Amino acid sequence: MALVKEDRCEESHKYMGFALHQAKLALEALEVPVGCVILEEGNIIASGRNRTNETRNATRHAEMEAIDELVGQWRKDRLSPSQVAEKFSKCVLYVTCEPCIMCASALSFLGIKEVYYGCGNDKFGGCGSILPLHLASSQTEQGQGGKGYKCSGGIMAEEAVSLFKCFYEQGNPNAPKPHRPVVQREMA
Amino acid sequence: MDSSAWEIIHIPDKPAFSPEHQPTLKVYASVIKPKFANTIVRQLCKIAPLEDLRHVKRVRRKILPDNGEPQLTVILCLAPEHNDHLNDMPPDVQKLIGPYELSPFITQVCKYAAVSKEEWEEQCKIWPTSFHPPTYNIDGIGGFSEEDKQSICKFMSVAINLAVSSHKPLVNAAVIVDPSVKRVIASETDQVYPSSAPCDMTTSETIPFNETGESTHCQSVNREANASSEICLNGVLEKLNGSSPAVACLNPWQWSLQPHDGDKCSQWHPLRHASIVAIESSAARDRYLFPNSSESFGMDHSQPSSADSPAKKQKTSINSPGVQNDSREAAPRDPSMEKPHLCTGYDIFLLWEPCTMCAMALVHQRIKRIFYAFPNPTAGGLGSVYRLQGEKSLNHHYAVFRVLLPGHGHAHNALDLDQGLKHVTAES
Repeated sequence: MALVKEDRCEESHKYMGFALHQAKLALEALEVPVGCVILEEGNIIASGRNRTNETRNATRHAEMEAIDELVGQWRKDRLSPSQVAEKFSKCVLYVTCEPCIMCASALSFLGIKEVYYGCGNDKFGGCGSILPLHLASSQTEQGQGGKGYKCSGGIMAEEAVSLFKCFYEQGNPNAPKPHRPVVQREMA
Repeated sequence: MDSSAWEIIHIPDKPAFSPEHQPTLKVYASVIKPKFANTIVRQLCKIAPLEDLRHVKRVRRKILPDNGEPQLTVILCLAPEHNDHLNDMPPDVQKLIGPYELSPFITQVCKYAAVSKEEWEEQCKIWPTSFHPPTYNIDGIGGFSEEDKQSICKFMSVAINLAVSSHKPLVNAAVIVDPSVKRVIASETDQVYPSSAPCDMTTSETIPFNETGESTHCQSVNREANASSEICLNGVLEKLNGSSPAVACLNPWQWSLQPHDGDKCSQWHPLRHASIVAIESSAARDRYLFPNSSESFGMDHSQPSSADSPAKKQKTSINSPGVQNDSREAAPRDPSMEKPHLCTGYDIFLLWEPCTMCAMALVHQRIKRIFYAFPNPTAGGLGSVYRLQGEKSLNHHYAVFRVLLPGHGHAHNALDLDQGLKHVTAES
């Protein structure tokens, strides 16, 4: 049993490593460093990173980028909505920071199977920190609400936080009135 | 348009209670000797601060009727909600009981700060609180001018007409407006189902903005102009039979149940709710009108001050060849053409209260005010299920208003909507 657990831990670190790589790409592009990968049966089938500054669309979070990649692909493959729902119900998301209220709702709407995240998000977190959107919602007149999804946090949280620190030290170039001047960062 | 038939209600950041039925919390309190008052309060502020109860006065002063002497009672700390044991007090607080001759008892205080004088007067009957009349700086919370109301009704009609005229099953519509110049920035409908996404149109991800963007203005103007034509409406309204299953925010989990014709149309997306699409469209407009401002961050790095950069960005965008069509509109003196930061200062008009996903998306995009016509009891994020305008931890807060359509003070479902819409179209 202990071995299995250790394997799981190693596995989750492996996938979170890929998500962290995406977050680093975001940082290099002067974006808030959050990254994610989506798995299907242990294979990474999509990845995403924050693109809010580039797109000037503050909803373009890593999760949304990865989700759109999948929906686009599956639509191209002529999958029906119910087949796409079936696909999502087998998907696992690894994301470096707890999904925000928007993304946590979106993941519930899609019916994702499981979410693993790095650091918590005590300002916007939708998987328990501020609102518990990962929990099943009650049945409604119109039909069923969400089933909810399993959610575990704290995986390589320090790595995720240190990327945020890097980002805020360099300054957010897109803040309306920067609190700190933007500092030229040396690209590694 | 006769805007007097419309009613605009502010949806506050906490649920509305009748003044007599405000939620309360239990606290430990004790009568204290006036000579100890200062010392005790100072110590309590250190060991048991009442962070979330800033509106509650720590000390109550009462004149005793029998001898005319003032009596001071102090709140020691919060008490557990489920039992009345006095020994559940934190040890630090218990230590004060002996030295200061306290005799703790449990009493109630109001959980939330009063938002009106009536609430405050009721609160003080339980335990004194402080009351600060609202000093909001968001227009409308204190009421609307006739001109503002006219304009709100007009843009709500644009949203309604957009929702009912574009698609067969009724969907939600979102119209983003710059209220300072009364200009439509984006107007979109749900694109969740194949049937609700126009087949001859690709998504804005794939078409250059000058096609979608150019059309945004004209479309909305046309739609507005067509508002009086009931021809297209009647057909849609007949199809309404009491429920609105295709409205994305009302049924966000139901997207996969829709029948699908794989060949007919490939444009659908479970998350493309009207607000999300409208935000995307407004961001695309921003990138189109101000193409260089994003890249300029890289060049501006050496500039010590960024205060003058908006003007600079504006200049570059005017000189850029891609925006010739808009160069007149973008005349430097037109204040509306300053590069917007996301949707700062903008309003959004929606037929239905947005779901939690859309409500949070509107926080992210910095919308200033949200107007909706119908509540969303299944997934609403602005008061029906959750209330994001009242989530203190968020970094942005918008003001939320419900617009009651003429003659339909309390319309709650599509049947009411049906009649409400007939009203609207008859009047506009």
